[in-house]
Parts: sequence; structure tokens; C-alpha cells
Amino acid sequence: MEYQIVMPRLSDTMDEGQLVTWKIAPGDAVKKGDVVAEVESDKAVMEIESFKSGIVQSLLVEPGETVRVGTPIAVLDTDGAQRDAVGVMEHRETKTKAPAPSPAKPAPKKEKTASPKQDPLAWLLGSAQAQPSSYVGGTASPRAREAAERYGLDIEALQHEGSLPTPAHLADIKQVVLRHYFTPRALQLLTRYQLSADLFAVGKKHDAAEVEAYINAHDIPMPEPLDMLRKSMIAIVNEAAKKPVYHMSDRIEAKWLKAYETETATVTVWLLKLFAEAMLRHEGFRTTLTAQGLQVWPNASISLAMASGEYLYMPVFRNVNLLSLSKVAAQLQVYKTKIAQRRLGKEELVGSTFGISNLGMTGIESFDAMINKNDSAIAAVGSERDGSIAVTLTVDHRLVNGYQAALFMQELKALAGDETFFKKVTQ
Amino acid sequence: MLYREALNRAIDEVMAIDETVVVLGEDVGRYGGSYRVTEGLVAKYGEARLIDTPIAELSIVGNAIGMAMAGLRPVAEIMTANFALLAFDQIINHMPKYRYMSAGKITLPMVVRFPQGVSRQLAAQHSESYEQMLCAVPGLRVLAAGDVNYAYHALKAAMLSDDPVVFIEHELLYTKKGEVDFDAEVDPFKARVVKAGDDITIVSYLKMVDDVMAAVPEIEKKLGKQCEVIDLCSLNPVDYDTLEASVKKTGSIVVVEEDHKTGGYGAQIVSWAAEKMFYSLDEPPLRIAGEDVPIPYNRTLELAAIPTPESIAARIVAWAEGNGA
Repeated sequence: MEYQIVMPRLSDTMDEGQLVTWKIAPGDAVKKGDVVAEVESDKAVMEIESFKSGIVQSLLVEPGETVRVGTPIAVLDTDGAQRDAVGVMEHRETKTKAPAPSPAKPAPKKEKTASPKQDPLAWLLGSAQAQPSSYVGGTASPRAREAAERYGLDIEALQHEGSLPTPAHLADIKQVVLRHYFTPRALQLLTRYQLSADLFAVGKKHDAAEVEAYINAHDIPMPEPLDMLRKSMIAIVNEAAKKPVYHMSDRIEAKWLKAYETETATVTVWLLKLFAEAMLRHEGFRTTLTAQGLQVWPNASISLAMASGEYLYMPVFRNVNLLSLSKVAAQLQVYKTKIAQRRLGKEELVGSTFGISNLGMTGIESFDAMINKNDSAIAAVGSERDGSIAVTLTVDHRLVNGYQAALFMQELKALAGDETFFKKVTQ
Repeated sequence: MLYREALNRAIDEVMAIDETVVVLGEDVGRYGGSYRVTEGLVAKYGEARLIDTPIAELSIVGNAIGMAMAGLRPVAEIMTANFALLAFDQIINHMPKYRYMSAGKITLPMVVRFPQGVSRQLAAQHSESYEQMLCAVPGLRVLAAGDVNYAYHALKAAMLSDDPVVFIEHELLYTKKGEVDFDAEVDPFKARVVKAGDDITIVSYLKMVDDVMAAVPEIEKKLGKQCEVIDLCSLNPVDYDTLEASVKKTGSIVVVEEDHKTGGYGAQIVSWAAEKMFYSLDEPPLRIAGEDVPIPYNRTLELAAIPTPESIAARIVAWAEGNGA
């Protein structure tokens, strides 16, 4: 059965319409609702749809022609729809692939058979892939985009391959630039020396050797931020340097120290006991200075200089006079372990009134030390020479005067040369 | 020194040096002001210079305009911004326009003090902010004092200026404590960098500056980034130079305001950023503002209707994390 498509009234005021383009050609299968043509009314260009399904028999109006509303513009064979139902897909393929042929020259039939009937989705897939390429530039913040332009980066390609997040920000671009222009080793060097990547030209990849060469040529020091331990050590020695101190040196006998030395009761352990005993008899070395005045402590608490690499610790042996030799030795072991694990507690670094720094094991003959925190003095102990050991006191003059320090030194010498002290302690 | 004491001191000092300065408003004289800003001044300067007016806002501002025309330097106090609506014909249609329409023959050296904002449970008709309307009127200077030192210096500058100034105060700030540097030279039109930082620019004004500052530790902890907090101080004109330097540094801008979001003043700052700073931005601008609802009386709902330190921190963290932080 024949069905005529007529020029529709597309607005209340429309009397005539101009046919703009045909979306169908003779021989095409048309389904109800398909767009068959574009028509310009007095208001706008609009699509017109078929109200019936069928095969296009003929087109009655040429593009550009203006006809009155109600005029037939095309003829469908509505029976053909049933006969040729299988062909519908083919027609639709052709329609979308090729531009609509002019009605004067109907598309040759064989073009339809050439269309990829076996995979009707191919065109659709193709267009989906093609779409991003028409979408220029990827998704990025204006600032990131500007940076990418400067470094010659293709944001879109990088986002496509997954090496840039979407949307990309400045930090992401910087990462890509760094990875792009520097080898991983070179990047490590940049980070360690806090060098800006801008120092190196863009356009080529830089390796570690180039960065090293730059560092050497420009004599750039490796920055190393101070950690808390270093900061506190610096603060302590700065304070120590402000103290009004004097030095006093003498030698103490080494004989009994050596004789009573064991694997656990080392010279250091003995020195702690020795100085503790001397401190008990000279209260100036058990004294601390506070804003309120002096404080004299009843027991001998001693800070001992212990180094671990570049770090120096002054852990405090509390009340050494009350501890047995083995307890002091055990405490020393505990501190050694804690220092190795860097686990010394804050409370273990306070409470002393005197310090000892023993470098005897290094072969240094004599030296002087800096007073730790609030201590009254520190003893710098050197190595043994000809049966005696050099002891240098650094004394805070505000707490102990020279005469008192000399008496303390005498006491020390007497104790070191007196075997009964060593015997008493070992019992 | 308290915020209200700083304002009192500013008025006192200018009244002492310039006898043309008069203060007028409801209860500004014998009562000492609803917020105690003019406390003690009537004893010093008398009722002729501290004028208690009837409850008639239109006449307060209208009279002030007349006084200014005739050579005085009036400081008119509105009790709360919502009541100023009755005076808006004078504030919008007269105050900013006389100089323009008289070809410069008439100047109005006057200040309208303007307490506003969400206080505590004063409900919908006593909680609003009107900077968006005031700043839309060419010819008005609009200052917003969020800081004690700024309050002192800016109010003095406003009183000594020959331009009509609306001086916005926030009702919750009167008991805020702060230091005043009396010798400092403070440009009332310059924004204040409250806290410097390299990563996120947060622009605010009035009480929200304090709320932003309360939110900053949480933001910095969660994001590992530094915030730069800017108090606009002058809402019209705006110190865009300070904003520009900050946005160029951080690549971002967050605007925090207490007022309702739609049509709110912060939109002007964000629009400036989009127009002028587009190529410097690394994240879309973020605007944190009050909800588009009349301010509720219920305290829980009242706080839900405006930004709080908690909501500011949460919003900024979520925004930064959604933008590659």
C-alpha cells in the first residue's frame, strides 16, 4: 500500500516549508518514527519523522525546494516493510555511513551489500574511539595546563596511557616532568641536594652523572636537617660555653683501677664509683644552681658521655653511691643497648650534678670536656701512661672554687691509690 | 583590649581632637550603647554630641546625612543590620550619591556603624548580613572589622575620611580580645594576611576569619599543606593585589563567608579569581557560605546554617582531596 509523507505543519504560523535535506533515499527501508528529512519552517530547521514503516518508493521534492503545508513530499510502500524486514539493518547502516544521496541519483544497490553487515556495532565502536581525539587537551587545571605547555607535555595522551590522573594538577605535571627528564638516580640526587629541576635544560633526559657533575661544579653542599638529638646537643654545648669555667689537671694512679677491672666492672664502671665516693665527701659537686638558689643533693648522680656515631648522649647514673658495682655495670649495659636502639628516655638524661667523659680506651692522653646541662663539673679521663691516668676537671666557678676543686682532686687521687676502697666496693 | 573597647577608644580619640564629631543612635548616650561601644562617652562629651535617638532608623541615617552636609562628622549607629533595612533608602539612595549628583559640591564625611551577623539564637530577623547589598552600591566604602587592631585603626580612619563609610562589625566579636598597636600605620583598605602559607589561600572576613583560623590546624594536619589566611578587611574597595600575590603563590582560592550562599558577597571574590586568576588556579575555587535558609532560632539548626570551624575544615579537606591533594 502506498503512503504519502506530506509537508507537516511544524508551528501554528507555518504555511509553507523548505526541504533542507533528505535523510532517506529510494529503496531505503523506513520505520515508523525514523527521521526522513530536515525541513525549515518559518521558525527553525526541524526534523520530520515518518508516521509509518515502509520502503521508500520515490522522493517528490528536491532539497532547497519550498512547498505548502500538506503537499506530498515522498511516497512509501508500506507493504514492502513486511517483505523486506530483514533488510532494515542494511539500510540503516548505509544511511549513517554515506551522506544521503541526492534523490536524482539514487544510491546504487550494491553499496548496501558492501556495508559491514556482519558487525553492525563496528561503526559505533569506531566513533566512540574517535570521539576523544576531537576532545582537545585532556582534563587539567589551568595552572597544570600552562605548565604542561611549557614542558611540551601532551596531557591527553598521558591521561590516556594512565600516567597522569584525571583531572591533572600542577603537582602531577611536575611529577611527570621529573620522571620524563631525569633518571630515578638523578631524581634521588635532586631531592637529597634540594635542587630545582629548573636548573637543567628541558628536552633531554638527565642522568645521575650529570646531576653529580652539576653538584661538584657548583660546590653544592648536601643539606642535612638537624634532628631533635642534634638540636638538643647543640643547645647543651652552647649553654656550656657560656658558663664561667676553669680547668684543673692532675694524674691518678692506674694500678688498682687496672687490677680490679673485670669484663663487666670496666674502668668506666670503676670511675663512676670512684667519682661518686669523692662527690659524697665534697658537696660542691653535688650542687646545682637554680633561679631560687643552690640545691645540694644528698646522693651522687653522674652523667656519662657515651657516643654512638655522630650522636653524643649523656645518660645519668642516679645515686651511684647507693648502687653496687654490679648494678652500675648492669646500668651501663642497659644504656649501651638503649643508645644502640636510640631509645633513651628523656628522664634518663636528667638529674646529675657531675659528669664523666672517658676517652681512655682511644689512647688520647689528656683532654678537657664541656659541662653537661646543670652539672657542677665534668672530669675528662685520658688513657694510662706510665701507671697513671690524666684527669682534667672542667669546673663551674659559680658552684665550686679552685681550692675546693683541688681538695676534690686530692680526694680522688687518694681513693685511686688506696686498695681498701676497691676491696670495700667489691664486697 | 576588647574589640568593643578598641572601637570606644577610636571614637573617643577622634571626638577629643575634632569637636564636629557627633554620635547618634538608639541608646548610644546614657545607656552607653547596646554593645557598650560608646560607654562613658556621654559623660565626657555631653548629650549634644552623643545623641539618643528614637527607634527610627531612617531618621538616624537621614539626620546624620543632614549633619554631614552641614559640616559635622556624624557617626550613626544601627543597633543591628536587619533594622538598617528601614534606613536603606538613606544608605543606598542618598549617602553614596550626593557627592556625585552635586558634582562634588556636597561631601558626606560620615560613618554608619553596622553590627551584623549570626549571634546566638537571635533568629531570622536579627541575624543577617548585608555586605552583599552595601558593596553593590558605588560610592560607599564598606569596611569589615574582624580584628581588634584593625577595628581601632579602621574606625578612626573612617571617621576622619570625607567619604561615607559603612563600618560593619560582627555581633559576636565585641568581647574578642586582642592587642592594639596604637603607633602602627594601618591602611584601612589593605587586606590582612593573618597567617602566611604556601599551599591554600583562604579568604574571609569578620568573624569567619576566627573560625577559619580555628579550622586551619586540622586542615594542615590532614592535608600536610600550609594555609594562607587573608582577612579582606575592606570589602569595597577590595585589595586585589594582596589576593593576587597569594593566589599566584598557592594556585588556589577558598572563600569563607557567613552569609547565605546565593548572591552572597564571596561570589564577587570567586568571580574575580575566575576572571583574572584563571591561569594561576590549580583547583576550582571553593566557596563556603551559609545555607540558603532564614537563620533558625534552634541553636543546633542555627549552627548547621552557617560555616563552623568543623565544617570549614571538613569542606576544605574534602575539596583538596577531590582535587589531587
